[in-house]
Amino acid sequence: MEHSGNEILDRILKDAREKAESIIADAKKSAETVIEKQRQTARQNAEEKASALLKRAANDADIIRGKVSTDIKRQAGWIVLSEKNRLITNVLNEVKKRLVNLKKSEDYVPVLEKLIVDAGAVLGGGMLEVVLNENDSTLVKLNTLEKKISDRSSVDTQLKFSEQKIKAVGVIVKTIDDRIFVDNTFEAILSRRERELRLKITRILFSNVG
Amino acid sequence: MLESFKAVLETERDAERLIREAEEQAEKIKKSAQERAEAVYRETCQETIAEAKRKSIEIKEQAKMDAESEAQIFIKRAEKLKKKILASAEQKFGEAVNSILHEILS
Repeated sequence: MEHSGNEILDRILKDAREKAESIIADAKKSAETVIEKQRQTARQNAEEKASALLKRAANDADIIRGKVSTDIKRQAGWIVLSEKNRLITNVLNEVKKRLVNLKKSEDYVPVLEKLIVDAGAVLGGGMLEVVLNENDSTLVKLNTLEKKISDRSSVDTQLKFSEQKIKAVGVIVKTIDDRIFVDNTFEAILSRRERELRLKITRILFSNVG
Repeated sequence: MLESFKAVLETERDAERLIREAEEQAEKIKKSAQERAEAVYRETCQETIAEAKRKSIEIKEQAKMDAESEAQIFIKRAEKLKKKILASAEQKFGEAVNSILHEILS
């Protein structure tokens, strides 16, 4: 009887221990489940933000690529363009130098006369004043030029030297009332036609390169 | 008999205590798990976002490196073209000067 009684007591305690262990095991399992569920929820929620971040990064990367590409194409274009510009300017500077030196050559007077006639024709003939630099006044005979202007403009033309003098090489022709003038100094011609001349120089210098 | 009854009663009290203690411990485990779960949520969010940020930086740096690498190719091409331009211009310099002089003077 005593033996049987001990068995009952042991059984009661054993059952209690097992139940206690089960309670704790369930609690641990439940705890793990809760934690894992939170982890999953956190991943899902954060994934949306992470996805937005990565999408923005991809957009930024496109912008960076585009910007660098644009900048570098501009820079590369600028390298080529500035070199072309420098070389074109070299040609124009040489032209200016030769035009100034033309004064010393025998070709100068016919050129000067042509510039006077061209300017007179543009002004439509009539009473005109010719403005030259100090040295050139003695080189030109105006009466031979009057006829040429008259022929081209179909208006009787009279030319006279202006008291005004210029420093530039070339000529300024103006109406007697001072209201209209044509500046045919070399400097003015080059300046007036610079755009057109640059295009022409570009075609000559770079026609065989890209 | 009375002794036996007392012993059973005592053992049952012990058993109840064991179960009560287990329930208290289980409650603590659940409470602790709840607190841990909040921390895990926070940490997982932070880790996921931090990882995305790190990848974002990588993506942008890679894009920059790719673009700069491409840029070098463009610059080299431009430098090569510049040399060709210079060679061509040197060759045709006289022709250009004479042509422009002719244009102005004729």
